[in-house]
Amino acid sequence: MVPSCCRCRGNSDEPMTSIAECFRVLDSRRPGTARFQRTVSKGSPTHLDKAADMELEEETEAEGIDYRCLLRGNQTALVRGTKDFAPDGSERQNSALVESRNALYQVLREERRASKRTLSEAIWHHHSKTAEVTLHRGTHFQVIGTTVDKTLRLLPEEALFMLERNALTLRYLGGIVSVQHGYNLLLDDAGMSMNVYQIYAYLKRLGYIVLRSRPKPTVPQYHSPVMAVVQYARDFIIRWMRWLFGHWLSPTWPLVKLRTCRLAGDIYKQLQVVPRVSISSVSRPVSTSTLPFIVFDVYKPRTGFRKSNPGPPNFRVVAQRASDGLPDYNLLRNLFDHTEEGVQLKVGIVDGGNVSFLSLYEPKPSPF
Amino acid sequence: MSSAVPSHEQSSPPSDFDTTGATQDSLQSTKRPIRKNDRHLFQNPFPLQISKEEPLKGFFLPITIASFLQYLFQSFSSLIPFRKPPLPPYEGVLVGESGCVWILQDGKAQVDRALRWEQEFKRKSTIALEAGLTHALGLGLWRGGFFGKATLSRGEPTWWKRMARDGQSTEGESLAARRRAMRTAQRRNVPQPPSEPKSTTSMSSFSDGYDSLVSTPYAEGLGWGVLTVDPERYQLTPEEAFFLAYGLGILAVKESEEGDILEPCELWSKLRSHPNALTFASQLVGPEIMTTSKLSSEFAVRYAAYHYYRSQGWVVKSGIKFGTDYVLYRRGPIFRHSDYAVVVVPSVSDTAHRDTLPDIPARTWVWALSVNRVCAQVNKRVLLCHVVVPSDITRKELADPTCIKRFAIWDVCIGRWVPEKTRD
Repeated sequence: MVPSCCRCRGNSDEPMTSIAECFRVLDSRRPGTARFQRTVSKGSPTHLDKAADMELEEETEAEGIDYRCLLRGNQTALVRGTKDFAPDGSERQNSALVESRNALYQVLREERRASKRTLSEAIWHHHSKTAEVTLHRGTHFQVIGTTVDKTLRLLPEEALFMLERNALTLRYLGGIVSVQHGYNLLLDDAGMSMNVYQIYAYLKRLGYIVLRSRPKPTVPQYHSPVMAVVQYARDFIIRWMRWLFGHWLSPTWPLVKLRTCRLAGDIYKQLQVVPRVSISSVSRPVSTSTLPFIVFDVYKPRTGFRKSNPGPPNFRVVAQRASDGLPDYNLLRNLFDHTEEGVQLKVGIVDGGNVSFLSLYEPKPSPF
Repeated sequence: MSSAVPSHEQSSPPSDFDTTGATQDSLQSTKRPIRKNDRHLFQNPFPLQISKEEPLKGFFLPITIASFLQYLFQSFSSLIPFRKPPLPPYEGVLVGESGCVWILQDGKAQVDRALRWEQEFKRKSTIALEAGLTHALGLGLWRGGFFGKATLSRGEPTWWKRMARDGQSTEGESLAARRRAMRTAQRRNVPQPPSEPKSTTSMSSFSDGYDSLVSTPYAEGLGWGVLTVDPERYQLTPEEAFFLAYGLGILAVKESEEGDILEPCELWSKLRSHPNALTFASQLVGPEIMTTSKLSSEFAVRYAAYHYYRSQGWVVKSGIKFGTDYVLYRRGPIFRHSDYAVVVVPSVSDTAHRDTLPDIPARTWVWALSVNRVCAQVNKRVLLCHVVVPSDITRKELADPTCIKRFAIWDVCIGRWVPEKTRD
């Protein structure tokens, strides 16, 4: 998929359909004939003609795209303002391009190295989907790994992350797991999927401490049976009275009995018949282990962090795909009810390679 | 929830996690200039003139006894068979299949009716009874809580005035149009058009308001020719109409101009049976358990959300411009832009039964991200308003407007989180 900022024209002035094709054309063409144009965006370099830029942009906004420019037969390329680095056919520009392209290939070809001081070793156990650490080096383990039966175990996302960062040699069935093999082996759609891993890796790369959400001990709601009976009886009596006398006494409408109101506050009070949901109305709390998605506890980077006693997280991040539906009310209430005070609920949304985040919070807005 | 008398000072914004990046400064500018001497026109939160006295502090017990007795007396007085309650001051008619209501303007009869109602209820409505304005009766609804809007204007009915003055009018819509024309001209570096209007319309007189004849390209295009009467009507959305009829009791809705006034139950069933809505009846026959798919276009759910926000003191208007159901204003559209955009999400409370058919998610995270982005661009926060319907609600209960008392509201705000910014 060609990014929307690129409007490469091929040999026949047709738009490119893939990045690979773009590069192929760039490589094959004589230098200077590749028309690699960028559309002007708001964040473009300031030395462009600002007024012209603004005018063209706003005109486009006001009038829409001129679709004639996109017609196949149309030979004129879509030029939008002057460019930073418009191809000018000079040898200096060409050699710079060639140099940077070669540098890119070179870097990709280089062999990755890791120093012995930072390289740990682990064995992958496929049946339990964990890695058992056999050699322990480096600082990653301050925030990664759990100790189970005196062995340090890594979850698949932790192992894969360390593998990507060149901090782990993972062994499986006698051989060493490469990064590519690691992606295939460690991730599976049932548990830690590629999508969820991307959220994990995104936050880890920013420096956050990301742990899987542990099932919190749920506080049992104490429902007093006596109070419940009293409440039920009261509702029953009210309903019965209303049924008996309802047709005879004041009609049910209008809701507000204007004769009895003196101030605006009285009117509001009589209007407020639709209640706001209270916490106690959620009957069955669901523990995080039975949720249909993975939730992470995310901590801001801090020096005194202890895996054994991390404390409440700064954020709780729910992993979702872009095509997933919004959770229904009950699930959402559960998430909120099991999030402690001070912890913000966030949702990480993965779409292909992109991760976006939304935050969910209860504002209790009031106009006064 | 606070039910205090609304104050007219700017209230502080709700304190919540500021993750959208929209600062309070960007919300300062008002949308259009309000003439200072007009502010007093908009002080009523409902189309009623409400006194602003403080509640009496002393004599608590005698007052409650007095009001209780008064309430009893009035309840029993309505039992007297020959004593019919007076007709509400406003009258409207259902229009087409949309469920919208147009306010009827029949001049003298309306004025009489309003006066009679005011005498009975000892409360003044905000019907504009000033001389010369009796044909703009919707004005009272706009000025008292911003209910509805005129069909050819952005709020108050100003079309006639604008057409009569052709470019010289000082109404909000004309000012906005002239401002837009100036900006486009500036952008194109074209010499600005002269301030005299290029008059292509035929004008018989420039007299103020309603005596002039109006003929405009707009009217000609519609085949109206020369107009002697203001064609603009005042229109209410179904929720607004029902709120005024059922909640406050100041609107009577008819099905047609000659017909009878609809009782609230009848009006409710008419509004629920909008042809585009999938009513409960037309859903798949199955066990009578409420599921969210059955509620997807249920009027009761939308109305419950509207009623809730109105009862909390918000001015609720249509949110179609932002891809949501409603937008909430603190005081009204003429004061400040709205702060919240509300999306109504029908939900079913926790139930032991599970829906046999899996719900196709109508709204995905892609939708949530896009609506959040659109609203963030206009400095609004997105509220997902869950209207929680008990799972054991029956078809019969839904046919009665009091079913909204069984609903509950829970709203959640969506915002954008940029983890890079919150790392420290």
